[in-house]
Amino acid sequence: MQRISIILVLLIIATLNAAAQDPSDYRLSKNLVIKNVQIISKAGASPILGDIVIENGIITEIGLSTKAPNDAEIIQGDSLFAYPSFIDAYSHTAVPKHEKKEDLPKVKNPGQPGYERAGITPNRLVEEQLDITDKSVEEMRKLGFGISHCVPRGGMISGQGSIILLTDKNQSPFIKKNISMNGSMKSARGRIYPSTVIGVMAKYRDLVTQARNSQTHENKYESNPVGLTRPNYDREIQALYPTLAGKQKYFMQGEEAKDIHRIIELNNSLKLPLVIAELKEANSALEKIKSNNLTVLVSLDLPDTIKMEKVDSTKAPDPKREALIKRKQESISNYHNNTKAIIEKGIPFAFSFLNVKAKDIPKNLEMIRKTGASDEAVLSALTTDAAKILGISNVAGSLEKGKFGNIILTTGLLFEEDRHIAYNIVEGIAYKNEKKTKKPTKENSEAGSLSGSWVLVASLGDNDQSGTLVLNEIDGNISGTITSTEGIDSDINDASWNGNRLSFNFDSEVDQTEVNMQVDVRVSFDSMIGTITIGPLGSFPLEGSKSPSPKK
Amino acid sequence: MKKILLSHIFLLFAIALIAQDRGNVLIKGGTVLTITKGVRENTDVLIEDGKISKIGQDLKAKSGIQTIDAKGKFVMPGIIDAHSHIGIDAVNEATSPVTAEVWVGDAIDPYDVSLYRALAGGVTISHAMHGSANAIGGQCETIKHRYGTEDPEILRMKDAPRTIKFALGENPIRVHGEGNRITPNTRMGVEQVFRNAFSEARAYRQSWNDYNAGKIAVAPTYSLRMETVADILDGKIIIHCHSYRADEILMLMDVCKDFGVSKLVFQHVNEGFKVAPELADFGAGASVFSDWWAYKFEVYYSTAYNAAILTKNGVLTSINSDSGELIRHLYHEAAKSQKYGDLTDNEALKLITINPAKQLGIDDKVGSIEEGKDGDIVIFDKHPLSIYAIAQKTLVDGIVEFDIENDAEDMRVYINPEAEIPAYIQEEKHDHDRCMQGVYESVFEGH
Repeated sequence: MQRISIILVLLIIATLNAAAQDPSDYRLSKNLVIKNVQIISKAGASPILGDIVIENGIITEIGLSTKAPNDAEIIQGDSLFAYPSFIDAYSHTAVPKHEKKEDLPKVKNPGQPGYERAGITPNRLVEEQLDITDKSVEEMRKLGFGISHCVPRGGMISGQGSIILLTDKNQSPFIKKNISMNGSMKSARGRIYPSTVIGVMAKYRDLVTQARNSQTHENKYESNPVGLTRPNYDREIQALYPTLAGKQKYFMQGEEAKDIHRIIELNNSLKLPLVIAELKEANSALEKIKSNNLTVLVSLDLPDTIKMEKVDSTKAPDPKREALIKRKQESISNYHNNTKAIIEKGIPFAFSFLNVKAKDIPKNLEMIRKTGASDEAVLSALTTDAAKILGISNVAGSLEKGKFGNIILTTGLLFEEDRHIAYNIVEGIAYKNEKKTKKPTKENSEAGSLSGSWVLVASLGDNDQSGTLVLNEIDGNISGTITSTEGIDSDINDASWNGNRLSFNFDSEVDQTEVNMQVDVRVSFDSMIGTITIGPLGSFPLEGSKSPSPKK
Repeated sequence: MKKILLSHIFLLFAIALIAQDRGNVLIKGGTVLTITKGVRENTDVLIEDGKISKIGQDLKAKSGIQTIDAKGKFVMPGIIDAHSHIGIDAVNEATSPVTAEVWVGDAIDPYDVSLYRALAGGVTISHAMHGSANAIGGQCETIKHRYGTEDPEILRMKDAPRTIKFALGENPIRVHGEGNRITPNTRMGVEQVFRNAFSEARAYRQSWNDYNAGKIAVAPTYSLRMETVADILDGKIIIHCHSYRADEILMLMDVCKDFGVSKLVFQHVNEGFKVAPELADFGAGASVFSDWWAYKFEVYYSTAYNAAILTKNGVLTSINSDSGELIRHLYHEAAKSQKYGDLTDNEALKLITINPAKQLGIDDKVGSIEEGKDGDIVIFDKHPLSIYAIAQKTLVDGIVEFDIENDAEDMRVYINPEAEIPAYIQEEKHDHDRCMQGVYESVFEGH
């Protein structure tokens, strides 16, 4: 009897706690079992049905008929898919922006501002700036990320980055501390040295040589100080030693081809263990990246496609402006195709998230996939490849016994449209993502009738192309025909419709070559707006309006 | 919807950059202004693998080699600008009176459309200089206008000697003296900056020599700045000094004599005509404007006869642009030396070809049409000193980089994907001389 009453008390306490706190807070252990789930253990693997057991945050068992500890929380995985949580290879996650910028005192001699004002703080550790309750942690976790390599904010050499778990339920989120040295070509703020890119490059050369010499000096002094001038022991210089020894990789931000060429040239003399981070467009530098055996982190901050302008048929077309728009469109395509180009070149890469807004991440990943980057390559970059670059492959990146219990449970295959990340489990702690159910809006109900004839206009840079789309929707099944201005018909395939988004594809001939075109639009009332993706050419804006139906 | 022309596909994929190699071309039947070996009528110039391999009559090229018909046209060596700031992203590291360690070659900007405009004016090489904010500014870079690449390395003229920018007078005084209350605050102070830096560098080099010889146990603190100044003392770097007033020009020659420095070219040197014999004695070069002055107090005492007077006194003289606009018509600037000073055609053309080549230390490779030199050529429809002359084709290393018959409207190499689409392709504003680029904005206009 007594035993039962103790259990009762415990139960009551647990319930009270549960009422008072976040549902995931009352758990007494980090033990968890996910039952009967489709397991995709790593990028490229086929789903296997089974259970996953996590004890104390670590995966202890994967497979059929597993044995879980008694106190394990149970998640019924039926109809869910389990993937390894994503790894963010480079970001300011959990490193909030300094809110207040104090007015710094004027530097007496702008040519010698001292290390800190010059933006040279290699001795700074990211933990000095870390706030695990920062909203960026939750934002990234909601998107499926379980691990971040967070780097300090700062100037030319901002300091040392650490790898953390994106969980706020632990005293310490660190997996590995101070794994990276981080830098950029940023000049010092406020007209002090180095105030330009040329100043920064010279300063790198100066610093690295000084550090190498000073290390030699210290070693000499340590073995026999008699008669020797004592070393300076500058903490900034000393902080560079692990990087010089190749023990700490040097992550250098470089966005455009021009920057990449410069960084590679600079590093030919510095000889640091370089990783290029936040790379955005590097077509012309890919060969150099490859031949220098460099690893890159590709920015997920992508430029938006050009917003469609209303075609004003009364105005004469302006060919000069259209040519400018077309060149901009080409430039945007280069940025969008960057990841694909890197994959094709066989350059090891993962993604970096320094400048991208969290809300744009899914959209931009989708954009990258649309350029033809394979799902496997994209998922590897988010998991195994990121783990490899960060040196944590043995504990993260895939679902295996002995690795972190970092798992996302999705309601569909990862890159399936409308799949939802139901749970992100970080070190065995399950964070549930409530699916936002859209209230049926007027938009949805009105847009219900897709059927009818639509006039479509695609903006292809220098010219617009129009066509007619006739749609037939019966009980959610959509069929239709698209007709070009020349009167050639094609049937639409794989149409899908969720109440406001419509997608389908069709095949068309371009100069005797068959090209597949993918249409993806949002429909509201009697207009649609979105993109048309034309074979390998990339996406272009597409707009449509419904022709008035004949009066009944 | 179906009418998507294949040309789209080609255009989008043609962006793949063409490697900048060396060209083969035969230029037939032009009037060849060799500069160093006279004018040769109805003469062919054969360029193979980027180098001029033969000059003569009725030359035969191997099959497949491109031929350019230059009958009735004028063929001259590519124009060389000994002073410009195009094709670089940073001009002034204006934070210290001595910044010898910085190098504009670190900031080559292959996207700069000014490079293409320069080609349209027949300029194949420019001396991309650091600005004049500091007494000892940064190192400069001699660039070949191989336009169309995104790789800064390709623009570098790799075998050109190192050069460095010095500056006298108002600019360094304003930036450091008036701006930050540090030396130099006067013209005397500028001289002292040179003497201090040279003395310090000499001591620095000596202490490293002592260390390397085992005389001292610990290496001196490395300084790229002092390394560079010491390299000047060792004659490894040519000084190109921003200057206007005669007294200061004499001052720098004195300083250089005291420290055994002989490689010296004065830039602007508006009062050079007053000290032309002294410049000639020293062996210093002078790179001048044809007729540009009065943009600040120290540049009022000037004359359009400057280039002619310097030339007649035996000073190695060139005419430069210091501007993304002037660089487009340096041949007009050279022609002015005939109106003011009666220079011969060849003397005038030397001001923008072999003379600047000598000042940059590249005259063994460029600056004239001679067998063995680089295939840097410009073809004009009229004599280049005619006001009606228009450049037709400009070749760098035997590759046609500008062709008036194939001159596309939009020649930008790179387009920012997030920039607004301009109403037209915008010109840069040039309100003042480019030597103080990046400094005026922040220092003098309070930005």
